[in-house]
Amino acid sequence: MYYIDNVVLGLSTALSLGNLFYCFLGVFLGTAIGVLPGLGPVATIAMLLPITYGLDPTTALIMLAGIYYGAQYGGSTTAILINLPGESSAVVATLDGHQMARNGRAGVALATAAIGSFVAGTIATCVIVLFAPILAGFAIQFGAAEYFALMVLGLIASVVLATGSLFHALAMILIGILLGFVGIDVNSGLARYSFGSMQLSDGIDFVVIAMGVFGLGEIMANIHEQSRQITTQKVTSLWPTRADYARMWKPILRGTGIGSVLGVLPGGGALLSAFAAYSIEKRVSPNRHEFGRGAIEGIAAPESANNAGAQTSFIPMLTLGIPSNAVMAMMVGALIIQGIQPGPSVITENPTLFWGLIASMWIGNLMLVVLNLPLVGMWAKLATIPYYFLFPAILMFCCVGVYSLENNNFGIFLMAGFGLFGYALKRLGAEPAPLLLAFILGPMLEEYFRRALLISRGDLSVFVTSPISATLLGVAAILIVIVLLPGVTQKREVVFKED
Amino acid sequence: MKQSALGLGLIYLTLGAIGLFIGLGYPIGSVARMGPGFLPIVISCLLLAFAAVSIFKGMAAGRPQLPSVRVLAKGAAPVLTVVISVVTFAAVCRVLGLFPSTLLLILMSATASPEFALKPKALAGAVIVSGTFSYIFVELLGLPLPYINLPG
Repeated sequence: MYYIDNVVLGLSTALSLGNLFYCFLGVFLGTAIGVLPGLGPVATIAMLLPITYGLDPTTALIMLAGIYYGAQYGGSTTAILINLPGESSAVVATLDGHQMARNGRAGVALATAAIGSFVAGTIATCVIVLFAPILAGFAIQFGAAEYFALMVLGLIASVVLATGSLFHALAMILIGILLGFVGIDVNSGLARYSFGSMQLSDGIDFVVIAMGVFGLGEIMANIHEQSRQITTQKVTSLWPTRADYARMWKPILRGTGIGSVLGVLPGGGALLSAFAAYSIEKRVSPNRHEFGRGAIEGIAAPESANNAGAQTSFIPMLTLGIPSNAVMAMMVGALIIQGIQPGPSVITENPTLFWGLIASMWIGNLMLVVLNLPLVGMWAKLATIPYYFLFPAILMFCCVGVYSLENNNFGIFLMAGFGLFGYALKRLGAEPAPLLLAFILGPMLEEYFRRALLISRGDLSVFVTSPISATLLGVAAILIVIVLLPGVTQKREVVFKED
Repeated sequence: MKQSALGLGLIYLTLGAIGLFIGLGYPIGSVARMGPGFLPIVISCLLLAFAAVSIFKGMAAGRPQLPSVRVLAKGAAPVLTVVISVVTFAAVCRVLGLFPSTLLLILMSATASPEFALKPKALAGAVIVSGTFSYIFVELLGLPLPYINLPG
């Protein structure tokens, strides 16, 4: 009964006219921006976040979630049609998806991606409904020490599973925590690192960092690229044949399974899921010799996986308050702005938000299919807008968005600074995503750390005498050790460089 | 992307040093009752340790990995154009109003592109985009900025 009551509550929330509209708007805007090259989901959400401030928390989150999977889906559409991944997890879709398009089967590739995404979204939504309440019930007993350990594990795991050098990712975490110190310390009332500025003593807004580092920094890095000559593949028949269906259903289910599991892990989410599903499919498929030349399995599996992963990555965010990747970190930030403390109590204190969001995920997925297949031609056109028209418009959105945060131009100056910083990091070869994650978690991390030690009267062993905390920290330590093993280091490089 | 351990190390060094220098000015407290300076100092020191390792790695890799002056200069112009146009927008948006400021932002930043050319069609496009955009934000979304505020 528990599940049925809540699913009914969720559906009645998500199906209200206002929420349906904002879900649609989110999916639509997300797809539109996801189609554009050079703007990932993080920058997209940062840009559109100020629009949601005036909405009530449930509606705001429904819209943001719609933007997220819309951006995901839009990225794959252009990957298939014009070999131009709109965002990183869509890179996999260029492999076989674009080959299919060149073989004259663009429509079938798009339909396969849509069907796979929808099936995966449906199953992943069920996974959330079943497991999120259990996890939240477990986490409700957590004290300060356990939360601290959980956040440490979240941060470590997110960099272990992500791409690139572990060493520099850890350094990015430290910088993120350091930036999180800026502003008034809640315990002493002292304004730290404010350089005597009133605005800085309120702390730095995470939107400013996200837009600066991911929006402006990205523009500065991309501006040199000459606009490419783009040839769009014609979309003919959308409908897969019976043979296509027979070949795609197993990969879709396998991809969904892989994505559902990897999405929950910190650092997981869409990107990792898509890559893992593709490489596994390449091993187990009876048609593996066709991979890279337009195998339908090569689009069905990763597209299902990335959608499933995108969905289930909401589980740790909603139940523990721990974002597993930069997009979820933005969601946590959005919740805090709305005055909701993310964590296990969301499910009991804001059941409408929790269940409404979950129900809207399924509805959003349905909208994606209905919206995207007929509009494929329009998305393809949108993607061919040259970058030199695009980036001034992106700048305009970023500037006005940041101004509207506090109705103040100080944030824009700050954003310009973070843009330079992000550009420098990119040029020097560091991946700034962990910085954003740590910046959002930093203040909570400090608070729980101080509280745990206050309760234990300064006894550091509190983190290992609590069994839950000891286990979590132990897992974090093991993860680091595993990555440092020479064999794994090489494998990691291969996994992320393969394509 | 090629990684420059030396360059990143220098960034860590700068941030860690600033963090530590300012952090030392705050009350440290004890482990049981941490002052506001405790964790900033710990984190800054950790970052400095990362800086040391990173700089050492960069040096050990042999030839300096910092990009050459020529590469830097070539990359700097568009980057600075973007920064200057954003800063200009911030400085003038209240004085001039949103429409002229966004138009200025679009035109200034567009010069950063290697494909920039002042064509009448592109100019008209910029006017239409910034005009509509500003109208939506000021008149419909209620952004507290004047739409247009010409002197005189």
